[in-house]
Amino acid sequence: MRRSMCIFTVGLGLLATGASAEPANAPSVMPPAKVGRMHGYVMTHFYFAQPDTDPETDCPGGMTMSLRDDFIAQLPPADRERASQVTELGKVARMILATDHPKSGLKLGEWLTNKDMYGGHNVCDNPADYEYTQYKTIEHAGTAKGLNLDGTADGAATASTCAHKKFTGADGTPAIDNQMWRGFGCIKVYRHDGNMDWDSNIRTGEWTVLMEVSDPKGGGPDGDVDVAFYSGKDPVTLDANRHIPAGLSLSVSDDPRFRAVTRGHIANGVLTTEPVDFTFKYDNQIVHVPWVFDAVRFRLALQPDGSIKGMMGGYADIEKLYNFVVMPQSIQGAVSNKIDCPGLYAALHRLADGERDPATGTCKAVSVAFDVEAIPAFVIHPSDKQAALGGKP
Amino acid sequence: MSRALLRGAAALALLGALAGCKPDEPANSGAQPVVQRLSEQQYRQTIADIFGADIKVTGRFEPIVRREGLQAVGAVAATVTPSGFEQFDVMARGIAAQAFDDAHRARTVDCQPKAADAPDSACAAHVLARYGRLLFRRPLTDDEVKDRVAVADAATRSAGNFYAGLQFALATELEMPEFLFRIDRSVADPDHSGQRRLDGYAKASRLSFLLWNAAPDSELLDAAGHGDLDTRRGLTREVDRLLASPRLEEGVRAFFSDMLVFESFDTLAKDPLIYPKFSTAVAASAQEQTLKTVADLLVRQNADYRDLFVTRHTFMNRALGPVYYVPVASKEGWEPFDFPADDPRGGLLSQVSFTALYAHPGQSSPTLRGKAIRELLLCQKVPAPPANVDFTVVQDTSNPLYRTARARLTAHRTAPTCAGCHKIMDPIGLALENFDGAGGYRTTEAGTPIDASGDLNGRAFTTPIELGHALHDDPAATACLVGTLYKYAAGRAPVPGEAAWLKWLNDRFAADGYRLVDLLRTIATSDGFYAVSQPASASRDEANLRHGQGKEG
Repeated sequence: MRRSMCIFTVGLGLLATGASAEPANAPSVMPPAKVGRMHGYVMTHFYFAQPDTDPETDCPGGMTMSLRDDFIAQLPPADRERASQVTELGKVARMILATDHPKSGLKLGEWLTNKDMYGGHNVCDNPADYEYTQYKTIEHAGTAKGLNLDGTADGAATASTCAHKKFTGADGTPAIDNQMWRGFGCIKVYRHDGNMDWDSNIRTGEWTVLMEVSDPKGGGPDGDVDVAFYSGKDPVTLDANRHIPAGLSLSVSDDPRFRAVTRGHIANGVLTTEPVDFTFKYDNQIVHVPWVFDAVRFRLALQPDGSIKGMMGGYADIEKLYNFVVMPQSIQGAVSNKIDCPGLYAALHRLADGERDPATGTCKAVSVAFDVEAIPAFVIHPSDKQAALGGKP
Repeated sequence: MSRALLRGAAALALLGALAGCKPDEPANSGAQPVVQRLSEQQYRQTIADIFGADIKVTGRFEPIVRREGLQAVGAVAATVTPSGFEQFDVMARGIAAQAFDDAHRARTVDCQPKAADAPDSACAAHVLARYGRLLFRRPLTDDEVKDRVAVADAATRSAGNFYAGLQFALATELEMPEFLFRIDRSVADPDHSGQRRLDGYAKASRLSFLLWNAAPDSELLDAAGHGDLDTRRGLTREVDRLLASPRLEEGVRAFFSDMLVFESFDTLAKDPLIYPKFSTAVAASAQEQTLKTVADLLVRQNADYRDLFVTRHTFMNRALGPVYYVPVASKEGWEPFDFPADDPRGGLLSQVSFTALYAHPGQSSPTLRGKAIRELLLCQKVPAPPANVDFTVVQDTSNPLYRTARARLTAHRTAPTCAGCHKIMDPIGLALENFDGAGGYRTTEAGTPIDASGDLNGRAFTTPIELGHALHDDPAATACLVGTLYKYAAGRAPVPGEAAWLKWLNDRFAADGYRLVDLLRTIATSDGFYAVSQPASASRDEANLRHGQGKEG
């Protein structure tokens, strides 16, 4: 394989030329990682688009109940104070069971007595089977992150969406759709100051998301481009400071399910893409659940340092979203992260605004928004390897 | 060339003509025989060749101090300290235990002892003589075999196990100087009255270590034993066999590793804040990239040595990809790679192995790079700096008056004590300033565009590529390779009596299109390569090594 003259080629919009590695305090520029006409990237950050908003504004009166508190709330008033002194969830559940009347108590008893905790019936694997007393969601129409996915100004129902409230972007962008944030935004760990670190999963190689953008048609910095997204086949490797370095070579997945091709447009250094369905491959030691998104579109700003930053918006089927985000944590993870599984599950259904069933008028997906950051990486296709080895497989 | 060398060359050319050497090969006075300690790589390769690649060699090798620019020459002065011998003892016992254990016995012991728990002198003698010949690189004398068998029998009786006895005796062979040191044994030269030459087995060792960086195989020892290496036809046949083997690449790689001081990679470190991409994997890959480039260009392609300074063809792996900032398709292993014709990289000087090795932990070093080019590639000695040299200006990268290395070195050179040496180092070192201290490409330093122009011995250049071409065309580069290769092959610096012979070698190298394989053939089939001047010290050395053979030398 021959290197394209990436260092001296004016590529996408604001992509700078040249690379300097020293001295340490000099701003470093990542040259384009270009193979043929395609600029490659690897995502270094991908997570819920969390606005830096006031929790009290988003969730008046505090965050939503934890699973444990919701159990306690289900006890008869006389038992609640005593139960609140009990720290172990199992004991709380046994107290509920002992009351012999709430619906959830019996089901919790099944979980407690089931030897196979992971395969058994429990409150987070079967959230629809349990009751919750209160689950808090973000209800205002104020500030949040996201994109206008349905094209409406007010969130009124369309042929493919259900009626819902809109947010406003921090920069004043009107009519933002992000029902996922309404559902998750009052859970502490999912907020910007929470403790979820999904980027570490990228660094440990549990998932790799690659992206390609062609040179703009017409030869200038602006214009139409071809865009592709891939799940990566290779884990990233880290530099001496445990950062993902620019210029890695990363192969695309062999599985066509994990590829998406669409078109986009670059204007004034901002890339916007047309909607496309995309499934992210995720593999770690125990979780092998793909993350499925429908009609995703990106709005990404090309940065002077060669990286790209922006947002992905789209729709996520509620069952698949719940299966990806909550189920792999198991009930232990949900308890420690203070996720009220039945409440969250019901809230997402209540908030659903996408993939409307024309027959019933109900929606089965929620609008989502994710912050995205990516740096240049050489995206390798199977044909590249054959070419590099002189046509030999 | 000094006058003394020229006088010696003229005298020996005449002597050669009178003595009836090959028509075009001048006489070579030779020098005193040498005794070289095996390098770690040679030790390990020998064990793998004799007992199998699965035999683990566990222990620490004492370093060999570089002399005359080469470890191969330093090996002549290398000794074994008490702690070093302890390590050889540990290794020997470990190797011997594995060689005759249950897993390997069927392959390594080709006789059946009369009893597993009692001595069998005949079987032990057979096994120990077989391995002794390969380890000592010559047959054992009868007395030596008897000694080893006595050790084996005694150990067998003590342990109650025949194979334990064999292990112990083999371990003693592995600890003997005859194995740990290459010994130049000489005999009277029947073709030249009053002169000496290496004996057949010493010739075999020289050949094998030069061409394969390994001990002679059984076939080569057979040829030595039959006297074939003392005949033109027999020597040529064996040289051609060794040159045709894929193992030639190992020999060439070992030479260039030594010539390019690659053992420095063992301790090479870079500041991770400044060069985060540089890692142990990058360091290992950088060496391998250069050695693969060398082996491919000079052995497989049998190309002109000078092309090493300009070739755009190399090999790439995923570890190096981010440093060179190029795509690498293969997740594992290496793939061929060609830098485009207009790429700023090409040739040895632009490879990470050179630019990162000859740099500081936190910044590039035109001085180190210039010195390396002068000393390693042109064989031109650069004097050491004066003890009281003031490096303040050079090291202060924050001085706004001197933002680039060129500016700092220009200021530094105003000191008269520094100017002389820097004048020969800096112009060529500054040509590589487009490569930072870890080998990454850059066009600016501290925001200031890099000026890579300069001149090499009067030839101007403006880019690293042009510097490579200047080196390609510099006759000192090929003469340096010939001289360095000869030092590597002989284990010593040339002596005045070899000047004419070395000039002939240079001429042959040029006539053969500067092809390394041809140069190796010329050396290996020459008479001069095996000439020995003075036996006295060799006899003394050997006496100290309690040999059982070598009555001749």
